[in-house]
Amino acid sequence: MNAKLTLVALAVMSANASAANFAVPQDIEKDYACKRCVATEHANTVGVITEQRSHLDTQYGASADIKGANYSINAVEAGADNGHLRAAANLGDFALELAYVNRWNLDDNDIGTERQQLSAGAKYQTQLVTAFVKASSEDKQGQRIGSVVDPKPTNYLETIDHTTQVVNAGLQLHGDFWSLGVAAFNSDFTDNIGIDADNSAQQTSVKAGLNYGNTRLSVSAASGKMIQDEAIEQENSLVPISNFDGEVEILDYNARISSRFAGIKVAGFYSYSDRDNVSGSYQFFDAINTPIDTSKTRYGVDASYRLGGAKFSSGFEQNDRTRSDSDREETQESEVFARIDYRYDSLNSHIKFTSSERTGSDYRIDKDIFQKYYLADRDRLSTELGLGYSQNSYGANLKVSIATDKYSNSSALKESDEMSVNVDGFYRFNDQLVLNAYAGTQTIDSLELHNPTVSDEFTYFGFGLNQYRINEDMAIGTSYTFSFSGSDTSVDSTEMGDYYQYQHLAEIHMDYRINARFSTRFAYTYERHYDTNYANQSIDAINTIEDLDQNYTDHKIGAFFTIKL
Amino acid sequence: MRILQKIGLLTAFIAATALYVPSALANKPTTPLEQQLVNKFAEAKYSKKGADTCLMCHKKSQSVMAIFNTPHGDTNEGPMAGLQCEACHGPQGKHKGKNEPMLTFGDELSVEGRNSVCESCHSQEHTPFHDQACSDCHNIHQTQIEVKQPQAQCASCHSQQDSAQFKRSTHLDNLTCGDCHNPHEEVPLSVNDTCYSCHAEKRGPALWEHSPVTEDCTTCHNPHGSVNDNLLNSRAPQLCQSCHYQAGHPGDVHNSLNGFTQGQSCMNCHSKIHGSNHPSGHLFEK
Repeated sequence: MNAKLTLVALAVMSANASAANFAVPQDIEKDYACKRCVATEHANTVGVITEQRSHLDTQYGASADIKGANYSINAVEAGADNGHLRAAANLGDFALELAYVNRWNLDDNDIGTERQQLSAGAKYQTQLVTAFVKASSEDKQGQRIGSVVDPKPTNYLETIDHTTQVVNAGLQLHGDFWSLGVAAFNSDFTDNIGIDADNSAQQTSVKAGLNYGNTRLSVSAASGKMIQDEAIEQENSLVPISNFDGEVEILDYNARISSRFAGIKVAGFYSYSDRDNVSGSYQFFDAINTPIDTSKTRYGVDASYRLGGAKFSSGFEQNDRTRSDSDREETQESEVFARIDYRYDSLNSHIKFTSSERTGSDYRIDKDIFQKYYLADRDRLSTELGLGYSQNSYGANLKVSIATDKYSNSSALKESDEMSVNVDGFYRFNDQLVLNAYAGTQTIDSLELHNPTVSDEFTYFGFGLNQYRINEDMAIGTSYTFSFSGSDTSVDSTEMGDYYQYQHLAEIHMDYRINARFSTRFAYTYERHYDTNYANQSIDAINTIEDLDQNYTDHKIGAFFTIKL
Repeated sequence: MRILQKIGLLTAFIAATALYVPSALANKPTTPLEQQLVNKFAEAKYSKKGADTCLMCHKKSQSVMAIFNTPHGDTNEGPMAGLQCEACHGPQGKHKGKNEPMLTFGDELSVEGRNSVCESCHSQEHTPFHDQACSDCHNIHQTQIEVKQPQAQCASCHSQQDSAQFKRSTHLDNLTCGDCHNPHEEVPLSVNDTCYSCHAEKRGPALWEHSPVTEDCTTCHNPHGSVNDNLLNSRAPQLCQSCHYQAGHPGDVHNSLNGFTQGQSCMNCHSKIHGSNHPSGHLFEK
């Protein structure tokens, strides 16, 4: 509370000062036109791409960049695994947009999903009113790992075939210093093969904003429902219901305010989110299903001010949660931070300290049961340091952060330490040739009860040479990245096996303009991908999937042809 | 008590730094350059020929001329229909010849000073809750910079999150920051609601709910990326044992290759860990 009062006092102290104002003047007379203000003519283009790959599927796609007075068409690798096509038209204050988007994310064992989303939207916008409606339908297909006990655990690949349809609509009124809006959405989820339960959700929201001088206020409220009413498997005659009348009511409130005075900024926020599960509760053979209610309240305040090349910031945040039918029904977390940014000539630096503490209500568990890590008392300390230097022709940035989480003595997770370092830099040889380089590492070490330790490690480095123009018609570029992710677990000094992944990714491309109308790009990509999976080793107790490793080399040759219309 | 001590430390920090505030408030512009620009704005010595004067020298720069392919370069409305370049960069004064500084939106100027230019037209679109200038993310001379290179703008501050694109599992291979975050305003959605917009099958409600799943997806997953499969914060069984150390199974410390450590670990049996709709699913086994 002391911290909060001090921050408010800072705001009051600064209330009589005003900032430098460079607003565009409205009262300067001018009597000139502009002869040199000429836009370069937009070149409408269409193109095709093909990527021939030695290991993964061959890709074909179309590209387009077409703009007319009232319409535009934009396509990037449309038709390929990861591509999109967007078409927009406008007539006066009305605008329409159609989009088709593909997202593909499958690993080498065909685990993952591919999504196809089709959407259509309409918008009406004037100085006073914005109204919109948007509808989308997304199909998601793929595979995930499932497991069944029959009688011994058996892992298998389970098919994913989902469709989600969403309709959004809203109306917003806006004036010079205020805005007021309402919006609503409906979302229907369907599992086309009946593995996951179908569900739907609706939400309506209202929000308002106010700008008064250097003070901004934003408030919003939302109310919604999540509904699931699928049939329950009748495994015997004792099942008490045929359908589950599941329903969760959601209520959210948000408010934010911020203000600036002469280099000082003060901001505060409050948010409340309530999840009230009003589903039925029934006696099944083994247990009673107990719907879970949760609520989250967050509020905080922060302030910063500048003094010459320095900026001082500090803040406080409170994060309180309640959940029913839990080992610990209330937790409270408080966080404070202090940060100093300093700029001198071409040098930038900052240091930030954060400290937080989580406590909560009494536990509803026996003393010999250990506390769940997300409910247990926790002290968190973190320090972040940043350094940056840049001039016109070269620059570099360094960021280091160290964080320690310490849990209460009775927690199942005792401690977690994290350290991360990120560096990047650039060197501009000349206007055409710029070298970018980057590297980083992160380690997270966790210690559990009875000394199981998990050491997660992540390292990456790479560089890119931006497009280097050899002559008017030809340019080349290249890049390379190496990344390594590893996780090493030991229990009582017993190593639990390898678990790591690495990837080399190298690319070189050449752009060549054949003539004023036709241009091409040729690209070669080399990918070396290696991924072990700790779950692989076969044992008698379970039927595992035979091989989840990934070990491949892919050569990809891409050809792009672009035609100016 | 520890939190009180920390608040005390914070208060001391603020009090110490606040001693400098009066000198800061005495000078309304926060840097000498800003003072110089304030003086230039007061003198208001605008060019007699507008952009034509500026482009005598700056026409060679593609990045300058690119503005004419953007809405801000429209000579019929907006800044180019008014004072043209000087609408945003300030009066020319003695810039030509004597190289007097113009307003160039570098971070040697205060955030509010830079934003005062943009806000004279964009009063409704703002970043009220970030201590940043509009120009930190938007380069208005380029076409749709915010659409085509959003990741690059965010990464300049959020490098640790951005580097997650190279991790074993990541969302950043197919998604951009803006797919989940809106830097301009706080939408009335909780973390889980954001996840449900793509993972609607997790929305439920399920007949048998797993408490941390309904409370916060980030209890188990890191949405940016992880060295573990499926964006998991840690590998199983250790992830599960961060909560369930006394699960009632024999040999709670799993230090050998067995059904608790191999295959899908705890999920060999508890496969419906996000929630179950089966009458016998209270342990998430069906």
